[in-house]
Amino acid sequence: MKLSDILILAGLALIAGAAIHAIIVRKKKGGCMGCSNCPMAGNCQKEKEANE
Amino acid sequence: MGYTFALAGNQNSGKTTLFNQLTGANQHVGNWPGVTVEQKTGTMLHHHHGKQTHIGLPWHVKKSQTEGKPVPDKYSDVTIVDLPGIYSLSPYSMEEIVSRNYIVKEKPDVVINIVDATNLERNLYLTLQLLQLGCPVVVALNMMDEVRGRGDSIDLAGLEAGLGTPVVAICARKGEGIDQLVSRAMEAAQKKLVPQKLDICDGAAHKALHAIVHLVEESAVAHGMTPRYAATKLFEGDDVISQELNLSAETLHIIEEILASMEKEIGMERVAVMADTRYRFIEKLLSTCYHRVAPEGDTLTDRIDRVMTHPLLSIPVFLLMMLLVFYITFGPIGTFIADGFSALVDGGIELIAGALERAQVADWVQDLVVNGVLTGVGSVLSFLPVIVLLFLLLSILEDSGYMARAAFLMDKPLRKLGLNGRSFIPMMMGFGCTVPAVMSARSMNNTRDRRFTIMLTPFMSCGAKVPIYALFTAAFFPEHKVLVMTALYLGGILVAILAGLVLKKTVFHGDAAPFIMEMPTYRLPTPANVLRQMWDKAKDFLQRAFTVIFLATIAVWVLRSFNFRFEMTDNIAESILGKLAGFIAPIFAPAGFGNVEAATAVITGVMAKESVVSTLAVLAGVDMESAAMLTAMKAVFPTTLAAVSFLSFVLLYCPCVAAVAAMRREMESGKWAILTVLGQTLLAWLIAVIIYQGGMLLGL
Repeated sequence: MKLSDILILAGLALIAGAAIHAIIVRKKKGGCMGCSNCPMAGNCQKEKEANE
Repeated sequence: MGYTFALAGNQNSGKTTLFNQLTGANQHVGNWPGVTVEQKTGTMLHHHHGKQTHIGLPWHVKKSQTEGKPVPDKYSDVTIVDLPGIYSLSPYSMEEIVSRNYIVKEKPDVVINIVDATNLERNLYLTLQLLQLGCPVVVALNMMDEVRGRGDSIDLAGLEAGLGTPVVAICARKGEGIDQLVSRAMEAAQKKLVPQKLDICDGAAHKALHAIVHLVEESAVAHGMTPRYAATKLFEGDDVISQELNLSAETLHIIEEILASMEKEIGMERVAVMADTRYRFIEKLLSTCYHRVAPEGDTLTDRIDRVMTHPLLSIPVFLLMMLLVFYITFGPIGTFIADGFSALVDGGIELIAGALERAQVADWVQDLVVNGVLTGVGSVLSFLPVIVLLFLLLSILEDSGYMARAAFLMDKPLRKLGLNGRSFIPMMMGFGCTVPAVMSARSMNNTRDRRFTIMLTPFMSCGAKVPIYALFTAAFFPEHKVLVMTALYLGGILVAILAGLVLKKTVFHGDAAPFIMEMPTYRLPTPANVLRQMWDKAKDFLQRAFTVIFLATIAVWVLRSFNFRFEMTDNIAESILGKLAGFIAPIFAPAGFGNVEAATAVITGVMAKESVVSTLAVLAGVDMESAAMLTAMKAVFPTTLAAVSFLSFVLLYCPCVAAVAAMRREMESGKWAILTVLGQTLLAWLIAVIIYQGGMLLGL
């Protein structure tokens, strides 16, 4: 394999790792997508748990 | 000595603002026992001349407390309980039951009734009921700044005399009048100032009510209720109170006779009689106490609502609005913008492909990057303008205040399904994304209504399915894009209706809870709000494209390109994917798409619906916006009927894993979530099979 191949594959692996991390972080937030017009504003279970 | 003040009032009357003013950071949020209604309690800050001078007790008082000395009255420890926002004390909603049970059974020292002074007629309806409960009540007239701003005025002394209980003018938002409110409340608590008895009835209603009072007096007092409150509730046919009082069959029969006779004399049902009596009392009281400068007349909102909520015009107007949204999004304007963006994406892919070739990158790496990742992610990204345009239009409708009217319109049709207009809001959100739609069902306190709504919400085509629909309409129905798109959205709604009717008869018996909702005034959508919501959606779409879809694309490419000996292969049937999907594909044969590509697309669609498009692109090895796309799609779906069958399956089958996880959380049951997913998938398969087999029989 050439250096260019390795760099490209490494780049893809990095992006894949970042994608997995982002998915895990969102899962930990209970699926919260941070919508500006959040339907649960003022009644968010996650906020309550964080405050307790 | 500690006191307890309960805050009661309508929603949007400023209760929470007052609660925050009184308690500051000393709050605790939980749930009322046994129900999912939120409970907020706090300790009152000590107010001195309108300024908050202490948080809790001053140090020297705390020191004296620890030495066993009593706390001076002016530093009394007061607990504030924020009751749920309610409009009456009927037994129809959990919030109302929780509020009245708390006041009757826990007997707070004072009930502070926050009343929106700009809307006295509606707010005083609850006040009249609170005055019957036997607790000291202080009425806090809030939003007095708005009343003064209109040039109107309220005779506080007259109102106080008319209600028979202290009335204090406040502006919770600015902190005005809070000090005086606290002083009057403390006085009421210390001296146990119960409201004067108000006789609001006359004529036959008066006679009937007093007769019932005499019948239930002993029982009411024994159960901790005032006779008048108990009698009024029995007058209104409150079954909960009737059961609590444990009256004899004979007493109940006599009460029924009294009320039947009254109804005959007045010519109105008992509930209507009581409501009418209350409103006539309020009208008479306000005619002397509320001095209006500007004559009441139709506002612009009222004039627009005459059309938007007209009994005959409202539904056609709603359908027209939705058709307009789809026409702009999927018609000439949307297509023009989408084509332009696709050209940019294609250009980018070509540049990268060219660069990789010039760099003499290994063939398989080129294949992974170009035909795998870029084609897969790119095919989804090219639908970004369509998604953004759709959400721009829906945000405009929501921000203008129209969506609240749509929910009101949908209340009657939804009741036929056993739901109410409140369910419309999550369902409308489902056209955006099922995850926040399911989460917004949390605002429905009735468990039955909440689960029912959550089960039907995924039938609303979410934004993630738009790329699938757009791809298939371009491939198979290029001349009828708008019509087919509209049919798909309406199809989802139709299936939801049918599923609702079946579920109402089987799993969810009974009627939905009553629905009361504030209609906001119409306003011009603010660009900031609309653009923010558009950005939210675009951001979410881009995040999914570069996370779930990116990973799915790589996974599909790897599985498609290698066999079980990890050797590269061009033959899809020999690949890992071919072998695995080969087990599942025959399930879809009766529906006309029993091939590896379609089966794989369906499976990856469980991770994210957009993956259906990227998977088909990767497996076909073509960019979905290119001319070769048509040939590729027809290879996977040989007939238009097979394509329609696949579309109907995708429309109806289980939502993505993020949505399923949200459903499990909001239904508070993994069993319900699994049943919903299995039920939907089975229904989708059945409908797809019926469409395909039925079409074949008809020779289509």
